[in-house]
Amino acid sequence: MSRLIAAELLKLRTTRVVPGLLVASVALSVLMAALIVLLSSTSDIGGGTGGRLVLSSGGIVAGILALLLGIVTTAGEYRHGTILPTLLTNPDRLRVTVAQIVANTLAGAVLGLASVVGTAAVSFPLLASRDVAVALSAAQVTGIFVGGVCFAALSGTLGAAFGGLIRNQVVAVSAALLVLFVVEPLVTSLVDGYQRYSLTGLRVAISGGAAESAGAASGGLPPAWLAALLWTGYALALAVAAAAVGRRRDI
Amino acid sequence: MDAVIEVDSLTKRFGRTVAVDGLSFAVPRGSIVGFLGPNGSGKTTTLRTVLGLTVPTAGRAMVEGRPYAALPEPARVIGAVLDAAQFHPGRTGRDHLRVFAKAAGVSRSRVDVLLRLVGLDEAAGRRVRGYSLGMRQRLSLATALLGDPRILILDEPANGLDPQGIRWLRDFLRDRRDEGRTVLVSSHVLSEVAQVVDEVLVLHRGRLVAQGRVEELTAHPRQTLEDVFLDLTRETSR
Ligand SMILES: Nc1ncnc2c1ncn2[C@@H]1O[C@H](COP(=O)(O)OP(=O)(O)O)[C@@H](O)[C@H]1O
Ligand SMILES: [Mg+2]
Repeated sequence: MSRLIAAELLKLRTTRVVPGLLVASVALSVLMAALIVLLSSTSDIGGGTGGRLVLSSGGIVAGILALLLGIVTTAGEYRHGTILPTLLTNPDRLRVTVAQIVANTLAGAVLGLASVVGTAAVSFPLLASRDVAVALSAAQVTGIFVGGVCFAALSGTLGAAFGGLIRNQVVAVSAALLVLFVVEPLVTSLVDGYQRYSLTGLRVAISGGAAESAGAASGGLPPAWLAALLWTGYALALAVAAAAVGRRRDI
Repeated sequence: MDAVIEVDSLTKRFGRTVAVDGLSFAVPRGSIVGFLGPNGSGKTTTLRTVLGLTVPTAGRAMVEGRPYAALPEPARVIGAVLDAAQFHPGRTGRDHLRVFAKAAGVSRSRVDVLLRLVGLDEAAGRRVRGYSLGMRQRLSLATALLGDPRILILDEPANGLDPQGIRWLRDFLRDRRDEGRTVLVSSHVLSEVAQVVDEVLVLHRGRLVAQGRVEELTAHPRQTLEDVFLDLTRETSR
C-alpha cells in the first residue's frame, strides 16, 4: 500500500498541475485577504465576523483548488490513459482508489498550509497598517488556520473520490461547481437547517469562516470536528461507490 | 502443453455488438504467438480481458492459472503494450517510468536500463507531449518491461514504428522467446508478424477460425500464410 501511495505522490509531483495550483492558491488567498482588508470599513473587519472572513480566505481558496485538483488528477487518469499502467501494476481497484485519495489529501494539505501561511503573512501587517485589532482570541485564530489546512486536505479527499467515480474531468468539475454554487445556495434558502449538512455549511464550519457565509442567517452550523467527520463520510461514501461501480466497469 | 494464457469460452458484448464470441485458446510457454484478424475482429477486447481491464460477459481468461487480478506481482509476470494512450502529456518519459517503477516495486536503475534499451535515453527528460507515435510505442514497451515479465502482450505494436523499428522489435521478440519467455502479439497486418511468430491464432468476428503452427496452416506448397489469412477472414455472411 505504501508503495502505491508513493507512486501516486510521485505522479502528483511530476506534472505541472500541482505546482501551478500551489502558486495560484497562494496568490488568490493573498489577493482575497488583501482586498477584504483594504476595501472593508475598519469597523467591519474589526469585528469577529470580519476577522474570520479575512483569516479564513487561505483555507477556503486552497480547499476549492484542492477539490479541483482531486477531480482533475483522478478523472485525468481515464482521460490520459494512465489508469492502464496503474491498474496493470496494481489490479486491485479499491487499493488504487484509496492510494489516489490519500495522495490528493496530502496534496490538499500542502496547498492549504501554503495558502494559510500566505494569508497570515499578508493579513496581519495590513490589518495593523489600518490600525485594526482582530477581535478574535489566539485560540480562535489558531482554530481558523488549522481548520483551513484540514479543509483543504479534506477537499482533496472529496475531489479524488468524486473524480474516480465520474471519470470525466469536464463532467465532474462542472457537476462539482454546479452543486457548490447553484444547488446548495438554492436548497439552503428553501430548506431550513440544510446548511448543517451542505458542503458549503461544512466548509464554513471546518475552515472557521463566518457563519453568515454558509447562507443561513445565524448559527446553525455543526462544530468543526463534527463537520470534518461528516465531510469525510461524504468522501468515503463516494470512494466506496467508485470502487463498487469500478469492479464491474471496463477501463 | 504448459499454457501461460488460457482463454475459455470468452464472450464480450458491447450493447448489441458481439466483440468476442465464445472464444477459447491457450498460449504455450516459450513461444511467440501471433493473434491475427482484421480490424474489429475482437483482438483488443480479448487482450484487455486477459489483462483484467475489461469485464467479460461470459467465460474467463487466466494468466498462469489465475485471473489477472489474482496475480501477486503482475508486473513481474506479464507486461502489456496496449493500442491506446497511456501517458500524461505533461510528464517526462523518465518520470513516467519512475512512477510505475515505484508502483511495481522496481529499482530506479531499471528505468535507465530500459530507457537505453528502447533508445529513449536522450528524449527521457522531455515531456511526452512532444513524443512521436513511435517514441510513445517505445515508452509503452519500456513500461511493460519494468518488472522483467515472463509474458509479453503486444497489441498492434508495429503501429507508428518505422521499418528499422519493426526489425528491431522482431529481433527483440525472438531474443525473449529464446530466453524461454512468451509473447502474444496482435496484428491486422499479417506480414508484420509472419516472420517472427511460431504459431498463429486467427480471429474473425470474435471467433477463432484457425489455430496452429505456421507450417501446418500452409499445408499446400504454393500457399502462403497470407493466402490462408485472407481466405479465412474474407467477408462471408454469418
Ligand atoms: N468499448 C467499446 N464499446 C463498444 N464497442 C466496442 C468497444 N470496444 C470494442 N468495441 C467493438 O467490438 C468489436 C471488436 O473490437 P476490437 O476488440 O477493438 O477489435 P480489433 O482489436 O480486432 O480491431 C468492434 O466491432 C468494436 O467496434
Ligand atoms: Mg485492436
